[in-house]
Amino acid sequence: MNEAQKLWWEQAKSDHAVFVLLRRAGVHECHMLHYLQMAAEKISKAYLWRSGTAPPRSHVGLMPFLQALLSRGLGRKERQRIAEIFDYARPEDMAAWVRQVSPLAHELQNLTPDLSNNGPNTEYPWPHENPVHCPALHSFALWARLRDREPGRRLVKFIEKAIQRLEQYA
Amino acid sequence: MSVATFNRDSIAATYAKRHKETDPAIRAIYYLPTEAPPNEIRLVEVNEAITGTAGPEPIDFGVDAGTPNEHKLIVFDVTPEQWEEVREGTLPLPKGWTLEGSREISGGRLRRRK
Repeated sequence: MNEAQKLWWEQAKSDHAVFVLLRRAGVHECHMLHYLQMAAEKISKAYLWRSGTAPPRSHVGLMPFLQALLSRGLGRKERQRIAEIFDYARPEDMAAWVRQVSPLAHELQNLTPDLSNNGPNTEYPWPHENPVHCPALHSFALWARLRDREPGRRLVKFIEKAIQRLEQYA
Repeated sequence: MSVATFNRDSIAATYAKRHKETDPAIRAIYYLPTEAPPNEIRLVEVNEAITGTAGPEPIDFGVDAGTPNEHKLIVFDVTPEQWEEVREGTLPLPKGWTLEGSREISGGRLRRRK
């Protein structure tokens, strides 16, 4: 792991620790989603820094990370090793799961104000020009899907695993 | 003015109904109230769509903080095979959990486990 990866990893761990505190406290959904999105973004950047060059400065979410983990460019042996690190028997099994959760992953990475298309986001009231909603009072459909469905809960656990096990696959 | 009191059984049944309705892969949901703190809802969800080789792990969520209904929801997702192992005692439940007094509430109704 290079120095840049270590720095992004430290921030991912810290953001995720706050997410866990917030999740257990049951605070407004916007705050839980905000920290989960930030932790996912930072572990994604920590992995993508393995090339030694900076990933895009803007919000790099889960999807580029998941796609990079499954990239055929890694070779079959490495993809097998990564699948096993994430508790899948084969890369194909992990790829099938990624296809299943990709709508959730997309939605999570698009929760930032600049990607939210002037709609629901975790930080600012919207629409920008004439606000009628604020994050703290909004019930996020995404949070319900993360909490109330097994694929959602597994995505939350996957992000945790990705942070805990980075040293094994970075 | 009356103050609403937390009804754990009712809220557990509401979760079970919602989860069953939104996840067609759920085979059964069990509610395990015995030895749980008063504001904690423990659910075991038997789900046939779980893939991967990881052992099951519970995940907890705080809900409705600062309201009379403040509680913790903990969900333990298992495959049908893992559920059989739990029943046989070869796969442990999370620490402090017991099947004693558990009830199946898959349809949003409470039934004693057979």
